[in-house]
Amino acid sequence: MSIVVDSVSKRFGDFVALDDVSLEVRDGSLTALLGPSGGGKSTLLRVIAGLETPDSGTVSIAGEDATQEPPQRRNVGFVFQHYAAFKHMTVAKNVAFGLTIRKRSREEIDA
Amino acid sequence: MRSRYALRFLALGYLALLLGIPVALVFVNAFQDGIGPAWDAVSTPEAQHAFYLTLVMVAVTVPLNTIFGVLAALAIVRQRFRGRALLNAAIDLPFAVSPVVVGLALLLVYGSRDGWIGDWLAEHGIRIIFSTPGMILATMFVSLPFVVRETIPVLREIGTDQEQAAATLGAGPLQTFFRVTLPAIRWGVAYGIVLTTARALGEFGAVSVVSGKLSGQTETATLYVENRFQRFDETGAYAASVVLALLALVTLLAMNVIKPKEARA
Repeated sequence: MSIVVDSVSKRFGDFVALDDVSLEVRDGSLTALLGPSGGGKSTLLRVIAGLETPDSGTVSIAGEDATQEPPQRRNVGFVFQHYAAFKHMTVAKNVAFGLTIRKRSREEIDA
Repeated sequence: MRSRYALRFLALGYLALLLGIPVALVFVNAFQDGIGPAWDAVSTPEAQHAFYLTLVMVAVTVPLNTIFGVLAALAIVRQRFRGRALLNAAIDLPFAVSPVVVGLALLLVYGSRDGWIGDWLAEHGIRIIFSTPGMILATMFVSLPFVVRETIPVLREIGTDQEQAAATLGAGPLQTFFRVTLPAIRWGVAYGIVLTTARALGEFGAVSVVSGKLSGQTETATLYVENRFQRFDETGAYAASVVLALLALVTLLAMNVIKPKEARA
C-alpha cells in the first residue's frame, strides 16, 4: 500500500499551495509532514485522499494511478482538522458509517 | 424594564390588529348561524369539488417543487458554473412578479387563441388553459422559491466537511446525498415544504386568470370563496375560508408532530 506522489502542483486562484511536490511513502512506514501553516500540508493530504484534484502531477496508491479516482474508491482513511462527525447520527452510527456504506453484514456492524 | 413591555405590547398589538382580529372575525362570521348552516355550505358538491381541486394542486405542486428546489439549492451552493447568479436571481422571480401577471404570462404561452404554443396544443387536443394542467402550472410558478430559499442557508451552514468525510469512508455521491446531506438539511426542506403547501392552498390570482372559474370544474377553494362572496352567500364564503385556514393549520401541526419524534430518534 505504498503511496507515490509525483510532481503534483495545485493552485487556488493566485495562491500556489503545492509547487511540483514529489513524495514516496513506503509500505508500512510512518511519515510526518511538517511545515508552517499555509505551507500546503493539508492540501497535499487532501490531494492524496482525492478531496482535491491536482492541476498537474499524479498520485499512485499501491502501484496504481489514482489521480482521477474519486475519494470513495481510494480506500484512504482521513482524519479531518475540524470534527466532521455526522451530527444527525448517534455515536455508534457515526462509527459504523464506513461499514454500512460498504454493505457489510449486519452482524459485522453490530460487533 | 418598561421598554421591554412596550416592545412586547407593540409586537403583539401589531399582530393582533393585522392578523389576529381579522382571522378571528372570519371564524365568527362563518358560524354566525350556528354550525349546521356552515357545515351545509361546505358540503355542497361544488364546495367539495373545490376542496378536492385545491388538494390536487397541493399534491402535484409540492413534490415537484420540493425535488426541483433541493436540486436547485445544491447546484447554487455546491457548484460553480456560468449563470449561477442568474439562476439564483430567477428563483425569486415569483416573489417579485404579481400572481395576476403570472396568470397572463401563462395565457401568452399556452392560450388556445393567441398563445405561443397554443395552436400546436389545440391541434393535438391538449388543453392547458381553463383546465387543471394550467392551474397546476400557475400554482407551481408562484410556489417555486420556498424550498430553494429555505434549503440554501442550511446547505451553506453544514458545509462540505461531512460530505467529504463520507466520501473518504467509501460513500458514492448518491449515498452521500441520502445518508448525509439530506438528513442534515431536512428541517430546512421541511419548512420549505410547509410554506409551499400553504402557498399552493392559498393561491388565488394566477390560478384565477388561467382557470376560467367554472364552478364544479375549474374552481379551487380560494376561487370558490370569492364566488360565494360575490353572490352574497356570506356563510358559504366564510365557512369555506375556515376550512382553508384549517387545512393550513393541519400542515403546520403535521410538521410540529413529526419534528420532536425525529429529534428523539
